[in-house]
Amino acid sequence: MGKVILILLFLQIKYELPPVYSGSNTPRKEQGIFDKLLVKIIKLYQKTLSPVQGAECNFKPTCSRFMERAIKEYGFIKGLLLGFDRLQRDHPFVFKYIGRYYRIKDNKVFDPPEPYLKDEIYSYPLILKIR
Amino acid sequence: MVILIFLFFADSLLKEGDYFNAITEYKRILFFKEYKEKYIYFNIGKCYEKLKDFQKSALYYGKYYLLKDNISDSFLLRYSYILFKIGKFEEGIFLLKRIKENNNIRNLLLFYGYLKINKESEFLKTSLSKNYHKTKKIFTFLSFVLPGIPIIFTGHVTEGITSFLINLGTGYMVYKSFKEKDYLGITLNFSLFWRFYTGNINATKSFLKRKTEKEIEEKIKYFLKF
Amino acid sequence: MKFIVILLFLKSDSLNILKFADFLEKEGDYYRAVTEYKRYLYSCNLSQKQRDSILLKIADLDLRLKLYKEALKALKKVKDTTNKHFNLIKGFLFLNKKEFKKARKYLKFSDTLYAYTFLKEKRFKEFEKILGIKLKNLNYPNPYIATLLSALLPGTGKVYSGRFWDGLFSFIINSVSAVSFYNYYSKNPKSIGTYLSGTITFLFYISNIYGSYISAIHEKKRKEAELIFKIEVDTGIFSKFSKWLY
Repeated sequence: MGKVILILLFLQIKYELPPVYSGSNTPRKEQGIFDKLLVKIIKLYQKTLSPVQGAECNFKPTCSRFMERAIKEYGFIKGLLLGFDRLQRDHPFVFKYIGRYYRIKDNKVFDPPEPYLKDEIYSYPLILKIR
Repeated sequence: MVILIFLFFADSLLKEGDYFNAITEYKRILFFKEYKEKYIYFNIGKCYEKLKDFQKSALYYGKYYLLKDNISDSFLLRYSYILFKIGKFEEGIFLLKRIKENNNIRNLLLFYGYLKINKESEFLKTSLSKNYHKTKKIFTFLSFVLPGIPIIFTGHVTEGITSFLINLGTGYMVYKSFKEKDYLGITLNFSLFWRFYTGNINATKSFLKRKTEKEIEEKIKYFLKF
Repeated sequence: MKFIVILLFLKSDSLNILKFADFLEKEGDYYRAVTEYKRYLYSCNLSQKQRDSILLKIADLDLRLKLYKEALKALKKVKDTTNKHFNLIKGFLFLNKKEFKKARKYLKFSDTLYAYTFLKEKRFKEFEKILGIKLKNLNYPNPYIATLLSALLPGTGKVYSGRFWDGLFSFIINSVSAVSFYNYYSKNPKSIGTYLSGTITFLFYISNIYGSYISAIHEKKRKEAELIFKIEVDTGIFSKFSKWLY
């Protein structure tokens, strides 16, 4: 009888598949007309002009994708300014700042726009976040 | 005897497609350490492969590889492709060289690995690689003479047309600034032109490479049933 | 068939479930180890102490998997609230949520952890009072001075906040775009080239100012984070919390 009870208790424990953590689950805000226009222009550029230039960006979210995500996250004005600031930061000496301001992912400098204007950006020193 | 029944339970879960729970049951048998471990390592690797966790499947396939004496060619092909997916290309190439040269899939995978490391010139044995090197030489020559047009033949029409038009436009701007003797304009326009001209050459090479890689991946998926 | 399997499995010792769970934890398969610990709780008669210790293990593993809600659920079932490990985990959870007052309730048992909560809240004076340490005065760059400098000469604001190469290249880019704008404007003020180069120079100039403002703020946050990390390593707090953060 005890064994039957134990069996029933055993059956109660069901395995569940572990939760899947997808990449960026940031909530998208409502976009105005200028936001959508700019994003469309950037996507046009990504299809036509960017694959033809041959050079690859040193950063992992490339500069055009950075601007696109910044516009979706922070709006038209801040996104534009952050994007153009990123164009000025994209130079060959970026790899000297790894460990100080950036970390590496897939052999490229990892610099996403989402935590840029929030407190989370330097919650822990970057030397530990390099994997 | 008890552990054999555990094994049958785990095998039944594998057949059903319940890979996550099958891994736990196989690990439980490993914990008892009385049964032969090679077969179990192989099955755990297979389950992780189906769950698309290639790092762990490579781990367990590696353990099986180290323990087993006579390994089949099909296992070596599968294991090397998983190593390619993780990014360990040199190790995969080392494994593939153990297979005989008559195997077509082995030659395909070897060429794929050399392509990823950018050492494709070392591998010239198959017809695929010879054709690839021929087309690469022709396309690079065409990209010097007619910038943008070989990109169209790799399958990217819009990119090819845009590069052709931009190279024409920037070249015309350089010519115009030469006529007017505007030296500042020459430097600015020539730098623009040079960026897109060299970009066109690099883009043809990269598009060709990507096209061959995609073709090989489709063939491998068909043969290895990924 | 499954019925027979389960019967035969339960004939073995209940300690084998525990050993298997420990084996999975050593391998690094934390999610499966949690389910095995839960099975052990369900199927075996345990004393309250044993039950609490296993619930704390489950909470520990849930924190490593970053499943904070599940860790809280496991902690609610623990009855011995005076346990240090229980207070540590609860304090860590509240620190993670940035609820510092609640974290202080649970981390009173050690002075260093109590002071650490003030450090995380960036109340450096209280931290210094409790431990009797003097933190060195960190010189943060002022963001308003950085904006002024970059408005006068593009790039200098970033050099002021510590980024020399960024400042150099922003100066180069701004100067080149300004020169090209002047070149087009001097020939024909109403051509497409002037409008294009004009908008691009304007955008680069303003983004340079905004970027230098942000870089000064980031420098301050980075120095504070480095300070906190140094103190964590020196006091030994980092060794307690590292497995739950990485």
